[in-house]
Amino acid sequence: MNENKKKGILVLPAVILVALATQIPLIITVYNSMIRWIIVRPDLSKKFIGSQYYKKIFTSDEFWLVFQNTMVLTVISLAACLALGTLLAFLLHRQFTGVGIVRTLLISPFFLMDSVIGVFWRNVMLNPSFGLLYYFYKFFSLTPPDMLAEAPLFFIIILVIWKWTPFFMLVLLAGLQSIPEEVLEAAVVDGANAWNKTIYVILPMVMKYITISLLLGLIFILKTFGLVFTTTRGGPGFASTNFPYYVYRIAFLGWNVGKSSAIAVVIIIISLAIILVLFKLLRKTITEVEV
Amino acid sequence: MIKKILVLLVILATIATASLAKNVTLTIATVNNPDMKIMESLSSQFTKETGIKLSWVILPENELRQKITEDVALGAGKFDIVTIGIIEVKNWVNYGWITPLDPFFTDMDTTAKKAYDLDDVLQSVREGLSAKGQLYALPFYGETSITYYRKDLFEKAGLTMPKEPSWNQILDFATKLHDPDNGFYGLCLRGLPGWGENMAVFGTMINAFGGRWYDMDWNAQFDTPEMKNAFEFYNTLIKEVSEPGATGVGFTEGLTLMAQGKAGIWYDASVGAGLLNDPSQSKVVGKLGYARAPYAKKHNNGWLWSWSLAMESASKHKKEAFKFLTWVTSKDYINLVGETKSWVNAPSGSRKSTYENPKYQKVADFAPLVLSAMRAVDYNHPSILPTPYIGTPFVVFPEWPHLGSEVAQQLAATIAGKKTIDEALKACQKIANEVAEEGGYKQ
Repeated sequence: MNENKKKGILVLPAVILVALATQIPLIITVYNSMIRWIIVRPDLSKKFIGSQYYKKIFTSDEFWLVFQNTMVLTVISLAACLALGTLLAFLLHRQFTGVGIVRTLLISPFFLMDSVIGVFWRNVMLNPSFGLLYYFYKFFSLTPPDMLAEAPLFFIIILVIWKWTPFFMLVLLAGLQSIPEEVLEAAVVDGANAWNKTIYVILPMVMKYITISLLLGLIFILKTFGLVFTTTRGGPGFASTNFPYYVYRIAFLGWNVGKSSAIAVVIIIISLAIILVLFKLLRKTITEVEV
Repeated sequence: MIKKILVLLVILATIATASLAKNVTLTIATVNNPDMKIMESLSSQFTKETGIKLSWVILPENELRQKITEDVALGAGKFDIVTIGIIEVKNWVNYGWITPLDPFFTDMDTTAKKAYDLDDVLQSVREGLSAKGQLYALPFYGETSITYYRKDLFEKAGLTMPKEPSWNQILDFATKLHDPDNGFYGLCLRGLPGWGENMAVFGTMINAFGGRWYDMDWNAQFDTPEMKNAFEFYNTLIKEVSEPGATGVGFTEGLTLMAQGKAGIWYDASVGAGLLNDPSQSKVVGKLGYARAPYAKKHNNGWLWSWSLAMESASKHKKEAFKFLTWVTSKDYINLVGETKSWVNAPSGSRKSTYENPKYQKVADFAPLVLSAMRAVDYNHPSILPTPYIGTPFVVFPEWPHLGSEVAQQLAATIAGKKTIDEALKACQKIANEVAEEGGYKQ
């Protein structure tokens, strides 16, 4: 038996396990998306209805609003996290007194649970009757805004940026720290100023780290649920409902397994398409940079 | 020899069964209201008396309902005892998700039955928790909705609250008391979206304004003038005379605002009166007056609700669960709360004897109003117009959590300025008609 076949056989059990763990739930979800199954109505027996739910989803205003919310949340959060993360990585890529403490403080939001972040920001910081924001505004004799009602999606975006910027900062800092000193010294010797050094030497060398942080950030931000659940509950109306919360709303408030499964299938397809497009774009950018 | 072995086996089996019984742990799912927290704190007494251990799952209302519905509908049996309301009893009985209690009462010995005194439980509440001729849950506390007001501020402003005010009067009073620059609000009203949160209050307003959810043919009624009036008036109250951030204010937050002296009027659950009169938790003790739920076209608009305890059909410890149910809803438990915590915190709205107790009467000046309001609720005829459903403030059918949650969000969207009232009404009309069609109600 040749070496590749031997390797294949050794890896096979793990592949089968992962395939079963990921594909069986997917197949069951696709099947459920074609069934009328409402949990709180066991008297209405399960019934095969084909693609009816898919037609309803694509013709409903709510779905397209949720799609828009998700895209806005993801694109703005990714851009802001990348920009802020890069800035903080550059600022921390130096030695100064207390750099360790500063790094720890900046990283800490990333390790907080979504539920803690949501409850803290909603009740302690932004409550218009008892929150810190209330006292801050009162000090200036102003009326505090009700962010959760007036700008719910913007509020969620702020929380996502607050939580995920440290992740981008950590990855990019690792990238900056991996650049050999000799390369930077050579650039200086060749007459590159700080701007040229950053654009033509540093950024190309950390492009792979930018790719990783963008891809991972995309996957995690698309899945944002806890922050929405503990703060705005996807409302008012559907104003801050994103894909994951939409599935939750139909599954656990509407108790409609069929419709929520159909929405989940559509979301998987859209998410995969976005990730593949981003991956191709980034690979193209990396290849051009390496050339 | 064989006989000796058999006897030994029987003895061993008895010991094993006895120790198994002693090792029973009941899992109880309940809501995070003050009365339930007291229940948890006193429950060690039950364990001491019976040896039955208790494990608590305490959640906010919205989350509790989801967890419990998921558990009973899928037959998971994670909980032995669930805290539910009248609406769940009426819906779930049809599917056998909760256990009837009559057989357990039949098996009770005479002394225990007499001590429990089921006839002492308020009739309207017993009827609400019964279906198909059997009782399915025992009330922990019962409530209606009442109007709390600061009688000291009313006196100062020369205002008089009638026994049953109109909604226009409430707006007028609240306008005169409203002082947002100094952090004081004329009215405190729920705006937190949820079928058991803002829809509890708004549901009574729909009834008060002469509206209904469906006509007798299950056509949604969100396109009627009565429903529009209710939406408009609610918006006026929230935007002009109520607390800021209303979409984040549910029962617990409203209770806190009122207890901290930040509101002149609060329309909400009567059970809040206990905490509002507890000096350790409230700044407004002795300053409160009480009135019935406001009216517009229809009178007697208070809701009827009872947080009650039921046994899941999937529970494997039904005998032990029944012991806890009867312990925590007994006269003795009410006395325990009264004597160890305070009489103002004693669970009310469940037993006649509580209202006849001089110790309770001394501290609960709101009790006669609450009792008369509960007795005046017509649960089977919520609207002045005929309806194909029963229930107030909720529509008693299995799809209520979905319908109520979606309408709640549309209502919140109007307050937040995300939708106009007409847009929200159109969306609600669509949702309600879809629910009626998919559920097979509309022919």
